[in-house]
Amino acid sequence: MTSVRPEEIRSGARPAALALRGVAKGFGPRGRRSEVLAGVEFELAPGECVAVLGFSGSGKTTLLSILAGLLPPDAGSVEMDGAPAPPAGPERGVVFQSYALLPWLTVAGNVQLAVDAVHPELGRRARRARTLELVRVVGLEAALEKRPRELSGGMRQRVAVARALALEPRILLLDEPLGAVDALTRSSLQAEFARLFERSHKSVVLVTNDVDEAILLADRIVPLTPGPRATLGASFRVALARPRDRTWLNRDPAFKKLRNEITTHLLELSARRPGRARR
Amino acid sequence: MLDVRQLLRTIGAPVMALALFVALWSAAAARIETSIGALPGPGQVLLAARGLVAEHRAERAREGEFTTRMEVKRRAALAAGEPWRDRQYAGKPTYFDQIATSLATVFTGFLIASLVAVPLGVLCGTSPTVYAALNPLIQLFRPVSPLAWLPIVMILVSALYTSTDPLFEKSFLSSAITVALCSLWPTLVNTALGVASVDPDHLNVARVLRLPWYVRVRKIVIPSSLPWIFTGLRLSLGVGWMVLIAAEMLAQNPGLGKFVWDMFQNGSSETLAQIMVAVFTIGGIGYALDRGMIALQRAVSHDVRAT
Repeated sequence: MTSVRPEEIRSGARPAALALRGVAKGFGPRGRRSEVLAGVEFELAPGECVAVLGFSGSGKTTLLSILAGLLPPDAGSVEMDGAPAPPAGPERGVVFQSYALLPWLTVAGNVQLAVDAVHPELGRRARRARTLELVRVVGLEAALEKRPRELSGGMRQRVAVARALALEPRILLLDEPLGAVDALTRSSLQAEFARLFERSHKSVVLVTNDVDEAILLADRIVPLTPGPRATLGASFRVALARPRDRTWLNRDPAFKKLRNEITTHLLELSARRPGRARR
Repeated sequence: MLDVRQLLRTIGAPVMALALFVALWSAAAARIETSIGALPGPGQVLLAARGLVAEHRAERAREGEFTTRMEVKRRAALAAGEPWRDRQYAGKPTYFDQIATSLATVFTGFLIASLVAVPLGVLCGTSPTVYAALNPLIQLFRPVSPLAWLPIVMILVSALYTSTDPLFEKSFLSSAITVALCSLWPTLVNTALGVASVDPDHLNVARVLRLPWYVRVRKIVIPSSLPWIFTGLRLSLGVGWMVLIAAEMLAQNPGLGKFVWDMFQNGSSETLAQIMVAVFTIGGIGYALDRGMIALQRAVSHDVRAT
């Protein structure tokens, strides 16, 4: 299976795997309503990994929920493969920011729930085998029968990823996947995710506030302007060779240049923040 | 040093309070004269309890004799080719039989209440429309006393339960249904609250997995609200046990309530002591039921903080 590059989309060869057209979303009652997103345009090419980079509180989670079909936009539309997107489902796997593991189920149980949901046609044994395989992929064989509260943050994150992979999604949506993990675990997980995504050839949208993480994992980085009325700006292409290694990247001039550009851009965006300009 | 203090507080203080209670009770008992003799003190109540145990043993012995006698007669009749009909022993129920009846009644009522309240609570918790519809009814019926329900239930049971070979006594059914009507509410309200407070992220997981509603309820909603449901069940069983005594008194269901009522009616010198035995029994069983529910709640709950 080969992934399709964004260039092909622009030439009209294949429609975007996932797209937002003029999406707006707000919360709260009329009068005291806060418009979180406005006029969001977004395209994800098949097989592409896009990182949406934004400050905390800028509406990243809202954006991801809309992409997943968990939240209806107030205006605009969500498209999959050029057609209106169906309701949330396994073709768009989500890794939630808070992991959302079920605390009364074991590691195996949490993954099994997803395997059972997408493979009702398989026998009990085959589904169990699939579960074990997925738990092995994320390296948690030893914690198979443990419950989420007995696991570290990094381990919980792996369970959440295994569960999302169990859906065999065409599109994987990750909400600050490493946000709640300590710094050391973070870099080792980043490397692992990088390998995993390269191998799986899935279309991935990754929402994060970590510039390094975005560069390490993504083909393209789209900054989210600070809210309210946040929107997606011009994107940065990450033309670094894969596999990308963190320690090696730190010495790479192209990486340093890109990081600088993006950081500067984000700082400019935040200085132009509408809330601040009014003051 | 600290440990000794801790020990004194956790064991010493309750023992002291108990001793003080018994002392006050004894002192009061010696001074208060009632129409049917002096108020019994702790010693007399203990004697009355022993009397009830002895009575139970004697009754069981008589029943045993009766059964062997009947068995001999039955064999003789069968050998002689005569027709034979089994006869039930018709002794009066002992104190322990009455406890057994009360427990059977309360658990029947509790079971009926749970079977209605948990599904209804899940429905209320998942659908704001259903909750809005049922909330006024819940608020209206929740504070109604068992004494108000019982006459209605008794008349309805008499009207509707007209089997010629009844499986249950009418008094038993009336008491159980009254218990159910009164103990329904805590489980209903707690289940609805528990279901409404399921983590929205967990429900989003269900949506991404496209779980059918029954799988969602079974795998996510119920396990998640189990601590709430069990808190409700525990409160319900407590209410049910309290209500039962009143219901039995009026419905003449042969349980502890009827025992208290009968003792009150016959007004012998033993009366007060025996009623006090019943009070301690009711309290003790209520406490045991509560501890049992807590143990059950801990066993099934993923929430370790459940108390």
